[in-house]
Order: sequence, then structure tokens, then C-alpha cells
Amino acid sequence: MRKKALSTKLSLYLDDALGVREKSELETYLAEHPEAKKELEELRAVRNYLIQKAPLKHNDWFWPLLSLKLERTGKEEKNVLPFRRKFLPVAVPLSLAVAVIIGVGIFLQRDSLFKFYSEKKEQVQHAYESGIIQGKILPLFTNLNKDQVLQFALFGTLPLDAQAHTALRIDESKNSGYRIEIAKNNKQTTPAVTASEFYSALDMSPNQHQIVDSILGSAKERIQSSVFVGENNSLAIHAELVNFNKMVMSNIAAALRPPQRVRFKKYLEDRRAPFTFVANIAPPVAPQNIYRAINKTPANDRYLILTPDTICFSEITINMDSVRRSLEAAMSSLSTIQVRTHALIRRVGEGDFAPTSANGQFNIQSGADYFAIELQRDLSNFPEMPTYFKIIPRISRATIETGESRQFPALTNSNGSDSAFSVELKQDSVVMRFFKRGIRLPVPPDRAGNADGSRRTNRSLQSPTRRSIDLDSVIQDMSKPKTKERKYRNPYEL
Amino acid sequence: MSDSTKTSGQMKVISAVPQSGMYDEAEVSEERRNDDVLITLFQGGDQKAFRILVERYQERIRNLIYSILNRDDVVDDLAQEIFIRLYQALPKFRFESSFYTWLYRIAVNKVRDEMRRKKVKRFFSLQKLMDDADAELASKMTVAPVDYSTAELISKALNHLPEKFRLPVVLKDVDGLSYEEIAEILECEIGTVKSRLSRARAMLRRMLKPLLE
Repeated sequence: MRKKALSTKLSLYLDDALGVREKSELETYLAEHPEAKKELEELRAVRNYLIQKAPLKHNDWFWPLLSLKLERTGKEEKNVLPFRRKFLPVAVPLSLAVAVIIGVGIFLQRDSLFKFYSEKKEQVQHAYESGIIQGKILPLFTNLNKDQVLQFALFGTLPLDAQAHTALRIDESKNSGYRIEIAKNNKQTTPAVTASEFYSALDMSPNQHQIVDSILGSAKERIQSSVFVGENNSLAIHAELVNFNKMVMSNIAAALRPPQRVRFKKYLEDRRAPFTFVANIAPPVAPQNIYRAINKTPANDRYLILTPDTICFSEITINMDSVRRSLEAAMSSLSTIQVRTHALIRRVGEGDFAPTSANGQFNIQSGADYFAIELQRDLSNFPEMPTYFKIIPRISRATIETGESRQFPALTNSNGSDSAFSVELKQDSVVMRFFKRGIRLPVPPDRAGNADGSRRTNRSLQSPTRRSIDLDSVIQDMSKPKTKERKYRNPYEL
Repeated sequence: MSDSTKTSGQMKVISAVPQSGMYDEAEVSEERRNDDVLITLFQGGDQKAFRILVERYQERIRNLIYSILNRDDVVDDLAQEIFIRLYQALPKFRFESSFYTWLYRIAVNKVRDEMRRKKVKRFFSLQKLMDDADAELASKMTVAPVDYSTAELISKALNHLPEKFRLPVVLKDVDGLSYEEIAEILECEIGTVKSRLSRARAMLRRMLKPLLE
């Protein structure tokens, strides 16, 4: 028998896998061949060694460790898809099909899309080519804080240069229009207000803090995307900015309770703010309605463009994302803005800033320390923003007492012109009396008129014999819940 | 209290199955039936059934790995990976083959991967060259013969067998599986298993000649 065949048969014999005939034949062969038998014994010994191989020690920690691993593997394999994994074979081709359809749609509409974007680009290009804005534009107010935004809301003032006390100021002109000023030595015009001091003065709740903070945050973004400075010392101011401060003030007032609105009006009075509001006793407006009222980006592309040579309105599309990118890209951007702002201020200071209006729709005033543009309300097409409270010019205490016209001290220039507007005594007189000497409640009908039955005059109201109530007691009374026995009457309702 | 005592009498039969070696025919068929019950329970969401399966087969799988690789440092890690793979694949088990041959196939494939990985690692390892040089130097300096125990000699001899001969001999002589089962696990013909087993035993006999005389 061949060696290989013998080896195979011996292996099978050991495993008892040979047939009866093969087994007897092999046993006969083994009886005749002792070397084959010895090989069988050796193979059997090898097999016995393998069978008797000592097993490993039992591992008591096997299952605990395995269960930990299983848990970890289960977490790793959690489905991150927004749908069940079994829908993956359907979802992938479907997504591809949608992508292809969108791609084909864009390809087919490429002409109209290209035209649309070209027109937009052309508008900007036109503004550039006509020399209105040259070079890069950068947002002027990149780093406003909460206090500065509040200052804008209350006084319409945005600081251009803190050291030189130069400010951009939004106001109303005396001929029923708007006024935008860049004025130096503005420190007396706007008292420094801080948000924390404002909150405590109005005794705001934490919830109201949050609402007002959100209003100021949104306003900050809006201001950032409303005023730009160009490389050629040009300034682009969004048309809506002239009303925006009033809108912010109105929204702050909307978040307040009626007694707090009284305090707010007194706060404005004490700090000689240029505007106040017509308050009412309506409950605070829901926060979501207030948030909805303030858009963080302007609604249109209408900008007032101001260069050292000319002033005009222009429709320009400013992509805030690209502006922000260019701002981030240029390491020296902030210093660039500062340099440009200083250049503007210097020109104002030197009286070198004398642009002319192309079509005469702007009334331009300038002096040694200020530069002002007065805009006709009807010509400027500035949209009136929706406000919860009517914002009106505030009448200074001095005006009522002396009858003189209102003056803004720091903005009064050497020529004697001012930024005052016509006095609207009727609208605010009651409020001023309220803060000046305490409120005078309406008198009963039998005591309201004169002896001859005619209506009571202002003089009769100012009579020292009338009952006066202290402001603090009024505020306390307003805070109390209304009852049938004690009916509160709004002091602002004439 | 163990799980086997907590559950029914059926579970007691499970825990009574020996860990390795030859099995009684009736016992094996009973075990297979219980495997199928446990798998059905697991597929129905009973996680405890998987623990029972693990506890039943963990020692066999650990010993199989140890017999093939002759390394105890990787045994537990590999065995756990095998059971994790089993956990992931068990919901798809269709009872077309017996569970334990299926589990053994997973285990053998995993061990094969490990052997190939080790081979590649050794090929690219400079440390191995240095180790070999050290070993050569040491062998020249060593005068006294190394006294290995019988178990160590058997392990070393097995280790010297090529993979395709080592696997059948371990599955047959250490784990006591039949030719059919080995063929199913290794995914080859029964004749191939017989031939490889015969050659493997012949090689071992030659290697262990001094021990046998």
C-alpha cells in the first residue's frame, strides 16, 4: 500500500469512518505490517494528546464585558438618518431624482435667472460707475453695544467717534420732514444712559429685561445693516433709519405695563429726549408680536447716499453676507472704518463737507461743527413703520414755561440755526403738566366750566385752587387692580 | 441565582451540556432544539435568550480560538467580537443550518482574519527582524536544552501547522465535530476535510516523534 493512501486510511480508521470491508482489509494489513501498526499507534497517541488538551480557565467577566461592548456598539449603530434605515434604498434614488429635477429646472430657467441677477448686479454697478460709491463698502456701526442702541432709541443718536463726541443723529426737521445730522461736540446733547440704569428706573421684571434686550439686539442688527461707509468717504444710510429709533422706542413701551409707561415718559422728560410717546393703559403687548414687528434687515434697497460732493437717493443692493465676509477678510477693516469715519468728521469740522443736492429735494445745512440734511417727508418716500404707540416730539419744560422755541444745546451752531421743530403744544401739554406739578384730575361737570357755562380754559386748569395729586401716589394707584368701587381714569385722555 | 435555575426545566438541560469534547447523540439533538427555541425567543425580542446562548457557547468558542492561535491574550477579545457579530447577525438567522455550525463558521472566519492580520503585521514589523536576530543569537548562546511540557509541545506543533491543516485537526480532535460539520464550517468538501485531516495528523506525528518514542 502506498504511504499516502495508508496514512489516509489510518486516519479514517482512527475516526471509525471506514466501511466494514475496508476496515477488515486494513486490520489484516496492520497484522502483517508492524511498522504500519506502529504508525497507527503513534497517530492514536497524537489524537489522544489533542483530545486531552487542557481547556482555558473559565472567565467570570466574559458576559459583563460583552454586554458592555454590546451596549456601546448599539449606541454607535443608532440610526442617524431622518427616516427608518429600511427606507434607505428608496430614499437615496428618490433624493437623486429630486436633485436631478431641480438641476434640470435651473438649467432650463438659466436665462431668466441670469437676467434677474444681472439686473441686480447692474443696479449696484450703476451706483459704482456713477461714482456714488467707490470701492468696498463696510458697515459703519460694527460694534454697537446695548447702551448705544438704547441711546439711539431714546435720543436718535449713534456715536461716530466717542473721543471727539461726534454723532450721527436722526431727528425731525421743523418743516415736517426728517433731519440727519453729523455733529461734533455732541456730548451735551445726549446724556449717557445705560440699559441697566434704564431697567431699574422703570422697575422692569426679569421677563421684561429679556424682551427689551431682544428688542435692542434686533435693533443692533438692523442699524448694522443700515449705515455703510464707502472707500471714497461716502456714506450710505438706509431710508428707514430715520423712523427706526421711534419704532424701537414704541416697541419698548409696548413691553411695559401702564405704570411703567408713566415712568418711561418721565425718564424721557428728565433726560430731555427729543421724542416721547402717547401712552395708554393697554396691557403689555405679547412678546412674539413685538419680536415680529422688528425686522433685522431693511425691507427695501433705498439708501441715501452722501459723498463729499453730492447727495442722492439710490436703489442699491447690499449683500450683508458678502459685506460681513469682506469685513472679516480684511484684518485692518476696523481701523479702515475708523480712518474713514475720522476723515468724514474732519471734513465736517473743517467745513469741507459741502455736497449739493442734484434735484433740490434736500435742504442742506452745515456749520463749523455740524452738517445736517433735511428731507421732505413727502419727497423722501420714507415708509412709516408700524408702531404700537404714536411717537411725537417732546416739548421741553423750558418751552412751556417760557414759551420760547425748543433748542438742542450742543447742536446749536454759530449761525444760530437749530434743529428745532415747530411746537405742538396740544399733543403733549397734559403730559408736561403731569410731570411738572402733579396731575390734575378732571373736575366734575358742574365745576368744569366757568360761571357763564363756557368750557374751561387752560388758565382755569392751572389755577392753584385745583386739587393736585402726587405722581408717586398715582403710579401706586395705577398698579393696583381695578375695582368697581374705584374707577381709574386715564390721565392722558383729554 | 443563575439564569438557568430561574427559568424552566428546559433551561436546566441547556446548562447541563458539557463544555467540550464528545457528546451523546441524544444530548446534542436536545441541545440543538433548545438553541432553536432560544434563537426564536431572541428574534422575538427576548434579550435574556442571547445571554443563555452566550453562556452556553462561550467556553467552546474561547477554547477553539485558543487551540487555533495558541495565544491566551487575544482569546477574550476575539470571542467577544465573535459574539457581537453573532448578536448582529442572529435576527437574520433562517434555521437553514444548525446554529452551532453557523456560530463556528463565524468564529473560524474571525480567527482566520486575525491570523492574516498577524501575518501582515509580522511582515511589516521591524521589531520581528530584531526579535529573530535576538533569538538566533540566544540559540547560539544557549547550551542547555529547553524542557517543554507535553501540552506546550502539542501547542507548538499545532502552531507550526499551516492554517488549512490546523483548522480541521482542531475541529475534529479538540472539538469532536464530524466530517460533515467540519466541511460545513470550513465550506469545503468532505473529501477535502478527510485528506487535510490525514495530512495534518501525519505532520503532527512527525513533529512529535520524540514525544511518542
